Amino acid sequence: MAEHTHGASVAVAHDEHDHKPHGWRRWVYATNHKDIGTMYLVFAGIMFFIGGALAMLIRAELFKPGVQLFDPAFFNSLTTMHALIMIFGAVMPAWTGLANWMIPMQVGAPDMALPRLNNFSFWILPFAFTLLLATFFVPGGAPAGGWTMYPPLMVQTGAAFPMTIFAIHMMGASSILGAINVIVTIMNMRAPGMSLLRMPLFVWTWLITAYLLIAVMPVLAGAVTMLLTDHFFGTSFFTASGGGDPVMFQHIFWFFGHPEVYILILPAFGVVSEILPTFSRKPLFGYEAMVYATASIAFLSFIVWAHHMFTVGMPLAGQMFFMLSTMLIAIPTGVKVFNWTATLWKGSLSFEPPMLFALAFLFMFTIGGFSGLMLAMVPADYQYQDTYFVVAHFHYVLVPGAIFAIMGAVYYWLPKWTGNMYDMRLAKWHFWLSTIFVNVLFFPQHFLGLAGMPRRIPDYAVQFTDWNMVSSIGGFAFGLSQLLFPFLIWKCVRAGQRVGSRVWEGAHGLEWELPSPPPYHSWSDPPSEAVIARGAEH
Amino acid sequence: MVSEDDSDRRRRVRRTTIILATIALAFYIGFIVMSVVRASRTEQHSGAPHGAQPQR
Repeated sequence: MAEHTHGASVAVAHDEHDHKPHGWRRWVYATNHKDIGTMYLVFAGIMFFIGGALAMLIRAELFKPGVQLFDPAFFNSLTTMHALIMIFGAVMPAWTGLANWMIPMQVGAPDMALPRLNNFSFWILPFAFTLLLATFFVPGGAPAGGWTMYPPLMVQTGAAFPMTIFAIHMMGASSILGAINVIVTIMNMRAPGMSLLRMPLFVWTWLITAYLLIAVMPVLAGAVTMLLTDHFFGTSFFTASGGGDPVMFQHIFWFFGHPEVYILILPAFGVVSEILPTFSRKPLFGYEAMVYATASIAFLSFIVWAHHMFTVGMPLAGQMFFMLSTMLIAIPTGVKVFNWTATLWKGSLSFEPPMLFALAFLFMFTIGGFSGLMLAMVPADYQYQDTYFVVAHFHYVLVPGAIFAIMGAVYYWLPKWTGNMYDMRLAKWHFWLSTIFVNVLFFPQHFLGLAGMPRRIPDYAVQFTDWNMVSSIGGFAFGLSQLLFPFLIWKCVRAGQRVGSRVWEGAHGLEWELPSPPPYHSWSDPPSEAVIARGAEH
Repeated sequence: MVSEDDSDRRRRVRRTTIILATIALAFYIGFIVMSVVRASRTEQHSGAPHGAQPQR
C-alpha cells in the first residue's frame, strides 16, 4: 500500500494548494474534469425529468382511446421533443459526464487533455436546449415530425424549424468536441505503464464510442444542413417536386442513427463490465474478448442502417444484406452477455444497488436485443414496422438498458465522488420500484404492437385500451419512483456516512486508489507501475 | 517551466486534436458533397432541367 499512501498524500497535499475557484466562477469558467463532469450529470438529470414529464403527458393522452387532452399536432410535438430531449439532452450528456469524471481518474491523468474545450463543449448544451424548448412557444409549435426529422414532414414545420436545426447543430458540435477530448485524453494522457489492454472496460467502451461520435455526428449535421437549404435556399436534396429524393434523407439519417444507438449503449457495456466483477469478487471473464466484441459491434453498426427502412422499397439483395449484417451483431453481443454471465458464475455475489442495476440491465437489455433480432428479419419487419412493438423494443434497450446502467454507474461511483455513502435501503427501493414499473410500462407495448397498434398516434382503436391503461399506470409509477433518485443523491451529499478510498471491497482500478472524495487534481503525480498493475487485475 | 516531456505531450495532443477535427469536418462536407453529386447525376440521367420532376 506504500505507493497508494504516497500517491494519496501527494494528491491531498496538492489539494490544499489547488487554487480552486469559488462561487459561480468555479462553474462558469470550469476547466476541472470533475466540475465539468458534475455539470454534465446535473444537466442530464434536469433533462431526464423534463423529457420524463413529456412522457407522462404522452401516457396520460394514451390512457384512454379518443383524443383526451391534446390537439393531435401537439401530441406529435410531445413525442418528437421527448425523444430529442432524452437522447441528446439526457443519455448522451450523462455518459459524457461520467466520462469526464472517470476517464482521467481511471487512466492516471491529472485532467482531460483539453480543459477549455471541455468547458466550451458543456456550455453549448444549455443554450442548445433552451433554444429547442423555446420552440414550444413559437407560432406553429414545437417540431412534430419525429426525432428522425423525415422530409417532407419536417420541412413543413413552422417557425420552430430553423431553431430546431440550429439546436441540433449545437448539440452535434458539443458531442464532437467532447469526443475529441476523450480520444485525445486516452491516447495521450495515460500514465506510464497504463497500456491500452490494461485500461478499464469503461475507458475502452468510451474510446470506441468517441470514434463513433466523430464519424456520425457530422453526418447528422450534414443531413440537417441539407434540410435547412431545402427549406430556405431553394435546393432540392430531399424535395421530390424539385427532383430530390426523400428516401435519401432516410439513408443519411440512419447512417448516423444506427451508430447513435451504440453511442448510447456502448458506455453502458463498460459500466456493467466494471460493476459485475466488483460484486462477484472475480476478474471480468474474457477481458480482451470484451474489447474486441465492442470494436466489432461499433464496426458493424456502420453497415446495418437500412434495417430501419425495410418497407421503403429497396431491392431484395439490399434487404438480405442489411438483414444478415444486422443479425451478425448478435454474435459480439452474445459474447458480451456470455462473458458477463461467466463472470457471475461461482462468484461470491452480493447485491448492493449498483449490482442490482447491472443485473437488471443484463436481463432486460437482452429482452430488447432479442426483440431487435425479430425486427431485423425482413418478412417479420413488414408486420412490426411503425407499431408499438418497435416502441417497446427501443425503450427496453434505452431505459432498462442505457438509463439503468447510468443509474448503476452513479450508485457505483457516487460514494467515491462525494466521500459519503448513500442510503442503501432507499436505493434498493428505487431499484425495485423502477424495475417493476419499467416492465409494467413497456412489456405490454409488445402485445399492442403485435396486435397492430401504430406508433405516434394520440388516438387508437378500443381493443387496445386495456394494455394502454396498464402501460400508462406503469409509466406514472415509474416516473414517480424516479423522484427518489435526486432525493437520495441530495441526502448522500449532505449527510452520508463517510467512506474510505476503496468503497467496495471487490473493486479494482485506479480510481479506488485515490481518497474519497478525490482531490481537486486527481493524479498530479502519475501512479506508480505497481499501483497500475494492482488496478489492472481485470 | 515546461519540461521536454510536457512539450512533447502538448505537441501530440495538438496533432491528435487537429487530425480528429479534420476527420469530423471531412464527414460533414463529404456527405453534403455526395448528395450534391448524386443530385446532379440524377438530373443528367433524367435530362430534366433543374427544378423539374425527374423521369425514372
